[in-house]
Amino acid sequence: MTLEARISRRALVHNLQALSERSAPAAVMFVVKADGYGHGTRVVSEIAYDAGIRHYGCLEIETAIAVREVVPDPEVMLLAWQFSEHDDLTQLVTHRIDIGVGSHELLDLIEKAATQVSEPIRVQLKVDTGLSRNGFPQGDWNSVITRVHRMERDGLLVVSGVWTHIAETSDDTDRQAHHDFEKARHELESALGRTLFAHLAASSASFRLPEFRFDAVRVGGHAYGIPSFDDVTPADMGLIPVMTLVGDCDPDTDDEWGDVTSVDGGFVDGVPSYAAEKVSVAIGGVRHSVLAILEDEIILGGKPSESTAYLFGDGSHGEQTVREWGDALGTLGDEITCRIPATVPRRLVD
Amino acid sequence: MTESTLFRRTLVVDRAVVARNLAILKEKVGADNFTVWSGRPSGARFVQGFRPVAAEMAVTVVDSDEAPENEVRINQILGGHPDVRCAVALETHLFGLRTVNQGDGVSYGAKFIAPEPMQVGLAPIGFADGIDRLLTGDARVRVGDVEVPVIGRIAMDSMSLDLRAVDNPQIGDVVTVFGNTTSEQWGLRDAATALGVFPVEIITRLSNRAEVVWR
Repeated sequence: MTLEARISRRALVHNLQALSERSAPAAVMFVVKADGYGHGTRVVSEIAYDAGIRHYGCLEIETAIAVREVVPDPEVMLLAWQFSEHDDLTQLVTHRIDIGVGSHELLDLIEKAATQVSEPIRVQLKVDTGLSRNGFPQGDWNSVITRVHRMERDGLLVVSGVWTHIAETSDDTDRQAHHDFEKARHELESALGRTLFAHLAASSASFRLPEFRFDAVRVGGHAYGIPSFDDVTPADMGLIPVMTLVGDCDPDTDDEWGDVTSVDGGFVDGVPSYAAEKVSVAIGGVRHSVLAILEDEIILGGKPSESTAYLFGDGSHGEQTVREWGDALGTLGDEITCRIPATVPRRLVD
Repeated sequence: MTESTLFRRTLVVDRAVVARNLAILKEKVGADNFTVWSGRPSGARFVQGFRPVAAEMAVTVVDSDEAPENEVRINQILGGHPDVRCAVALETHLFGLRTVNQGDGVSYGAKFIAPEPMQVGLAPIGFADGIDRLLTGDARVRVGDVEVPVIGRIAMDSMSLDLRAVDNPQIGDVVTVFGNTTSEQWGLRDAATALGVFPVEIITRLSNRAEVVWR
């Protein structure tokens, strides 16, 4: 073994069920982009289905297709939202994928593709409420409503949802975003004459704010056991980190440091060298300071008592969580897990 | 657009720069016995394209999981070594364009507030592609030939760009990070300095999901 990322089925199922209970009656839309935050899209999607998940957030169409391969149930909603004129949009119908659309240019592409497919394309309209990213500006919303109403009548698309993405800047701006989203949703629903599947919140807001939940909450980090709040452990939130990064280790001596431990892994495995002197690694329940992270070797202070080193995980071997690593580095635990390359084997455990 | 989608993330390797870097290191190490190791496993994705360049210069390439210390590795030739230029660029396209009002926040936590009405571009690369989130506030990219600041927090799959310097930006415009930049442009070495790492680490940890293309 060099370095290995252990993926705990039990932890993922636990998190998804706990989060589903918490947000009920809103459903959890499990976000599996960036190779399932580095955990493996296919593996986590399949486990999630067994845990009762029926909505997936996929980013790209190819990720959605990968999920559809392991979750063939046509009742399961797969939402993708990054696409362009170079994507084959007929695949949306073939694989029953909902597409998030937030601009007239992208609606043009849907209009074009609609003539090549036998069924209307399922479209979830995204309104911008302050993130200034990829939603329709609120000023365009009336023209959007007129247009999709016509396209729906012509059988080109079915509006299957309405959504937004909040900036999480402050409670005030988020409440304003909530208010703006409600307004946009009501306008769209009254034009179409029916209620729509609506979602606004990602991990943070969905956990804290019941009125932000609507029909579904999009959950990435929390499902993988990575808290998005400051000064909170996964256990405080009732979550278990899903990934444990483990490596073989050996005693060594160093001219400068004396007795050290050499762990088989390094920045080639996605462990950033700037984590040195900031994080610890557990061996036999004892935390060792990280002295240096080289290309394929991590050097820890002190002799090892065992031959297995736990870099981060659920804490059951004395190790830090990836959230603690993120805090120590000034980033998110999400960045650390999603940057562990595919060359590091993922092994499903328990 | 040559590659199939706007969202395609490509690691473009500049063959001419690689050849020049190889010559520099060959000279430095000494031509006898000069061997390049692929290095496990980060160099492996570059080996196939590297072989013809190495062959032309009669350099042996050892494709091995092992790479003894002090041996030259592909990632060093690609720009990781302090004496060479960066030969790798992460390339994608503008996929979103919008005008924001004065006072609007951009991206998570609104770390950037628009000082005036301005055009903001969106590029489909983020920290999952190896642009460390810690480079928020530092990073600059090129839209076509124009260097622009990355504004707001770098997200997992996207980053926002200040397009005020770009004349008539369009969806599909090529966005480039790193590559063979001039000394005035923000590049690999600036990122390495900002993060306190060696440039080779940035090359090593660049996007897993980007396709490698030699040009």
